[in-house]
Amino acid sequence: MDSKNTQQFRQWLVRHRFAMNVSIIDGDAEGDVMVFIPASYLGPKVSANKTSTRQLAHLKRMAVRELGLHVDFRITADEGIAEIESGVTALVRNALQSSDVKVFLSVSLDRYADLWFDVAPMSITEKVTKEVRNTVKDYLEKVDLTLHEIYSHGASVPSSAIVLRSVKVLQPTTAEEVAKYLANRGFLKVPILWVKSRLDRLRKKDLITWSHETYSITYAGLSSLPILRGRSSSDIERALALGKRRW
Amino acid sequence: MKVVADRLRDIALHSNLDHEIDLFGRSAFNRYYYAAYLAVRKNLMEINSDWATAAHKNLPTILTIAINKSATRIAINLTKKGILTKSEESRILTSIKICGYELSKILQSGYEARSYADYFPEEIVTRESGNLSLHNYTTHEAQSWPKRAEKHAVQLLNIWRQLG
Repeated sequence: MDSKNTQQFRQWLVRHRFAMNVSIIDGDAEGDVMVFIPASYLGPKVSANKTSTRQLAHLKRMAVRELGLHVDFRITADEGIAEIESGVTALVRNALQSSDVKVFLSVSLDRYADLWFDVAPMSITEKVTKEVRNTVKDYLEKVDLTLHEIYSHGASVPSSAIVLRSVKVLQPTTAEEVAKYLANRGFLKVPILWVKSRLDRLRKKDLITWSHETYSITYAGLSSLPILRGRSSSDIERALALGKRRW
Repeated sequence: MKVVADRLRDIALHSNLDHEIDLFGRSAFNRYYYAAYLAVRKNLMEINSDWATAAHKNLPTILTIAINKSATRIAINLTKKGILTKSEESRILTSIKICGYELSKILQSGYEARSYADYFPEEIVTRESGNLSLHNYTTHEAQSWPKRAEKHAVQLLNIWRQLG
């Protein structure tokens, strides 16, 4: 479903006689939108089925002035760029030794390319990042594109340490509550069975206890967690969680 | 902050007066740096509130050295107690290292550009084909600092959270 910004921008485009079928999504920051335009829609001049880099640059300026929206037009895969994208996909899959990683290439109007792949940042080592960057950079330069940034946007699998922390914050708690807490903190959504097995592993190390279907942290568990200063302190989070709890 | 920077850059790009191009242009570089700095600071505060008040010049060192030291100490302790496996420890520490390094590079570039903008009026901002240049920096590059800083800083915080 379109957000308020994307809806507003779509209507605004129609009012400016830009009636092409393009994908519009919210950008990273509030007030940013990203518009994906297939490469075949671009022509040297504006015509019935074509837009031009000049028109896009004009719309970009107008959107800031009239709507306060910052628009990032990205040229996306079709024809020429699709071929480049599949070439890059093959290189990335080879570097990551994974055949199911999805790769998405987006090119800005001034031919800077951003590369996105949907693997967890945790699974990418420094060596692999360098290898991907070097291989892809050379490949893109041959087709007159400059590699700008590589993003991996997958969520990470939670570690046992964060599972232990969740028990500290939520105790007495259930596996379902732990799973929900982890998902809310941006980790990969994991099945309840996975959470139960992790909790069981922590219980066997005497870091947590299990009684009456709920888990609680032990002294050994408490002393294993890091003592941090600032908002990320588990003690502060625990105090806030207690305040919110309905007894 | 980035909105202010974009507006200043637009004014500089559309001005016909050299001194306006220079003055608005150098302020745009200053604001782009601050937008990136604030994105990093906001996320660093979550990790350690002391780092939020660190001097600008020290932030790259915090991101490449201090944060690695803290993370290593915590990770080794968690591994000793059997909470993290050796490979989890290594992945977390490598990811923190990469993110910290990327952020420090962005802040170093931004800080240098901002220093030229604020303290070296003899270095003039020039305009060329829709882009402003100051010393070795262009607004095209500066524009990307806030977004890239935000992305890497959020990623850094997410990885840090794996330490419990």
